[in-house]
Amino acid sequence: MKNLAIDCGSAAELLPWYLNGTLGQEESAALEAHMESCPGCRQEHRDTSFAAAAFNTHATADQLVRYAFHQVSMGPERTLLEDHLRICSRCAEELKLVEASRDRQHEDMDVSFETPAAEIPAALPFRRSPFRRSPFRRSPFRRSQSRSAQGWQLGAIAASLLAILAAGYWLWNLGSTAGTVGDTGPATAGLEGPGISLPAGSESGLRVIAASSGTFDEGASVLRLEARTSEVELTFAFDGPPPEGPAEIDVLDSVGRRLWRGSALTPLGDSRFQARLPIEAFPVGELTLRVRRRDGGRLVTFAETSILVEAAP
Amino acid sequence: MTEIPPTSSRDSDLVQLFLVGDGEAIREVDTWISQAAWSFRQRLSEDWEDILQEIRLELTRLLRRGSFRGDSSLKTYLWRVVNHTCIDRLRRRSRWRWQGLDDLDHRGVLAEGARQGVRNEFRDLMLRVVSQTSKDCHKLWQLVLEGYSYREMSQQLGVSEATLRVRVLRCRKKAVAVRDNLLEESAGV
Repeated sequence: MKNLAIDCGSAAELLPWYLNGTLGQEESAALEAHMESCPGCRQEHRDTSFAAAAFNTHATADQLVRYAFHQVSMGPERTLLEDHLRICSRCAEELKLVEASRDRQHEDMDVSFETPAAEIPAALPFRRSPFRRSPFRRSPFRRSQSRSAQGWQLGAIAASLLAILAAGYWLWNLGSTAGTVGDTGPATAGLEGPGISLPAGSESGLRVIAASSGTFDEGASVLRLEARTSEVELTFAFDGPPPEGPAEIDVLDSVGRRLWRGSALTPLGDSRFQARLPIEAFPVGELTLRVRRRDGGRLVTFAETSILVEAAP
Repeated sequence: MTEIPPTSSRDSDLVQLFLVGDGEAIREVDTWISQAAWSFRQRLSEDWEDILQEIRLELTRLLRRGSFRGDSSLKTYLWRVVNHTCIDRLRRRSRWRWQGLDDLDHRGVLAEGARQGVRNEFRDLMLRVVSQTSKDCHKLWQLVLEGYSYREMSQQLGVSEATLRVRVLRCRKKAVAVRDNLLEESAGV
């Protein structure tokens, strides 16, 4: 548009693209100049804003899910929703996806995650117990065990767990591979150890215990691990130069599934970094913290450590 | 009295085991998550791992806060959470989103410091307005809202820029006219 003077007719036509930010610089400037002196076109601007908002109003995710699961009863809400679904191809398509998902609820699908199970270092006292089982391991269609066999099995599980906990406590007290657990008695005592400082009692209802001395396998040290109401703050330092390029920190659960990945590592200077992780990434149990960096296009583990999260009493 | 589903004790056991990090419980829930989200996989393939992570976090948050009350089975509850999260994720990828309703209060439709109830009414008004326009109008405006320039839209739709701009304007005028009618009806005029 070479002529930079815009009349009301052109202004009304161009307003949608002015609002979505795709109008060229010259056209935008001409339109703004016109609206400054034209109250009618300023009203057109407001009407166009309304139309944009109206056309951008969709069924909520909650409505689509409830509708797909037959939870929207007959009435004004259902009528409005169905009228909208007749007009809006996007919502109609999303509804189809939800209905397809709903229909899978009662199918047996062989779906596996792509995340491989992480190796758990043998030196750590909190190794995943090979004897751990849960009532949900067995398919309901398998033949059930006899009561006496179940009793022996439970006894063996309990004995194994006690042995592992005892070994872990012994190793931890040695201080050779474990951070110092405060043996002050009260459960709310703070945990102190070489390089580890944890607050006495956690506002979040969790207590985080470093299972190792805090040394990452490949040369980093956990300086501080603080659990707050909604986040865990992790401060660590690399023994040598920090990794070059972007680094990521993963939180993995006891079976190696990634619970959280973050790339927002705040440098504190002197090879120290800080990461804030959501508290939801710290369920109770054994977790692995892993720092990885990019090396020639692939992610390489730079540092790794295991921690144990317990519910604070 | 609410009828308690027969699987409620199994479900609550599974919730507790999941929250304490039991491997088998996590695996079972993870399998359900994958099954429930599978229909979205093609649309969300680039962010698949992130989405599964987001779902796990959301589910953990909801279960911790006691949101699952046993009104349905845990599996159905999880299915709904997964679908919610996937739809929200699809929508976040939209190129352009309207930020708020307050800017639209040029006719005083919203009270100052609009309460949620009033905002819901305004939202219903918007849905009613749109439902009385045509499907073609809705399609045109979705392209505008997705951030296409009029040149891009003209090429995509195979119409001249002038024709396109007039059509979009007519749709806008229709929406405003429907709004005014509905407001007058509700005011009893």
